[in-house]
Amino acid sequence: MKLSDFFATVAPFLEGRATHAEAVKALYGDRSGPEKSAERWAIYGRFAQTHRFEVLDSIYPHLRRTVTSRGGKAAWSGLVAAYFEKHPMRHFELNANGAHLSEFLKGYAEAAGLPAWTPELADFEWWEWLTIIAPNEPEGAIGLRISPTVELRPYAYDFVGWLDAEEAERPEAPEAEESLVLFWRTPAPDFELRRENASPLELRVLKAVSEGLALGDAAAAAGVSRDDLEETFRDLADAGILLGAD
Amino acid sequence: MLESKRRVDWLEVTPENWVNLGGEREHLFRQCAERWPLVSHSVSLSIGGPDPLDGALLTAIEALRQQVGFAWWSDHLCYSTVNGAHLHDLFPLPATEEAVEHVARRVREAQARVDAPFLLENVSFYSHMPGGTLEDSDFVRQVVERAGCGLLLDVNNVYVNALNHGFDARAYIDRMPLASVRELHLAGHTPMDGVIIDTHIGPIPDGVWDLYRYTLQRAGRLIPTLIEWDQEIPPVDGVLDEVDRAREHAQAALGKEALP
Repeated sequence: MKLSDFFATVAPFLEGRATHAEAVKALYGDRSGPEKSAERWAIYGRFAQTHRFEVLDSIYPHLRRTVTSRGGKAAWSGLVAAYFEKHPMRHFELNANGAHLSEFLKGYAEAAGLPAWTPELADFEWWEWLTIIAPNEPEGAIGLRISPTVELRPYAYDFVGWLDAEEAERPEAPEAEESLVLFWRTPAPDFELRRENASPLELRVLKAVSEGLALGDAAAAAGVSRDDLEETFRDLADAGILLGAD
Repeated sequence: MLESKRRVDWLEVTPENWVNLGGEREHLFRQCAERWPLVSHSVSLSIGGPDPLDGALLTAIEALRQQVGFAWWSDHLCYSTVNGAHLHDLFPLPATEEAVEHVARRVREAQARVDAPFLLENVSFYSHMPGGTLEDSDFVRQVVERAGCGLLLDVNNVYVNALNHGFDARAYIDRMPLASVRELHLAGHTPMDGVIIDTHIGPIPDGVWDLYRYTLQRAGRLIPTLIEWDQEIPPVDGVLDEVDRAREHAQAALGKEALP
């Protein structure tokens, strides 16, 4: 068997598109031996499948819980298989291959009987991961600035309130409520992931800092209390969202 | 590791798990790079695969080399991609002349992209691929010789393969191009359903230590040795105990004067 034919033969099984029996027949034919090699070829199928699950299991634990609580393990397995059939792993960093799940769910969730909010939940969990690994700020940065790990994401559901609830008291679904979630990571040495629903005052302070406006001018322009903005400014600095505020 | 005062001479890093990732990972990586010499041991190059080499990975490895200056870099004699997609595991090639030429050509291509010596590692395998015409030891040796690269000889892989396929592990070591070996790997393994799986779960079994001593005696020199323990990892002292044991076995094999 030429090498090109060999790869064409093994690919369907390793990608999860062929059964072990089909793969053995394609690879070893109908002859009786080598039995051990044929039997053990199943190990490689398990290895490849395990890695597909590792990606989505580790990045999307809440989505997984949501899917399995409604359709059992088979529903999650079906989702993992369908996702990687549409989005094969193109990246050498394992977790990066989970990047397209939210987009994928927009076309998958309804047909699979999943709640309409699952694509947004996947986006929320993906941004948690991206925040954990966001590039560190280059050394030598000076002046008042927003942490480079900060990201604001809009959602139609209150995922923060839902996920922060005690597990035993967590409702079956998040509340439908427009929210703007602030993701960030605390500075060294803690590097802890944080995400909160952003308040209007926090958004005004972030906008002022982003545009280089003095808080007094921002307060006057928005018709809000300068003291309130300054207190919010200090809170954001304490949280590591604003850097260089000393 | 960073809190331990025990002797560690160098570390091996899997670049896929560290490059382009900020936060705590970058912080830990920098601390390790400041304290120990590092070498790169990637798992996704797919040097035997059907697809073009991953330029992004090679670029990342070269950037890492420029950052920490590793003395060599390595990957595995296998394939890990099909149809342009990563499978994130190590799959055996058919041991054929065509595969030898295929891999040797791609090793030369990879070597041109990273400015450090490249080593290929012999892998554990559970199935013989159809059409093989070479013994595995001949396959490994021919690839290394034709590619002009170094060999990262995984002693545990030889031991596991010998058990799974019923060959003599020492005879296999005898057939290796030992002058080309620049690094050794040691690890534990796990019996599962009638086959021994290369799990990298320690501690290292006596049979692997025995083969390690034999390898050093046959090579006639100390070779940089790495303990791989990457599942069910115990407290760090449990891993570093194995590092100390490796020194003891090396001394038993080569004599006290052979060790730094």
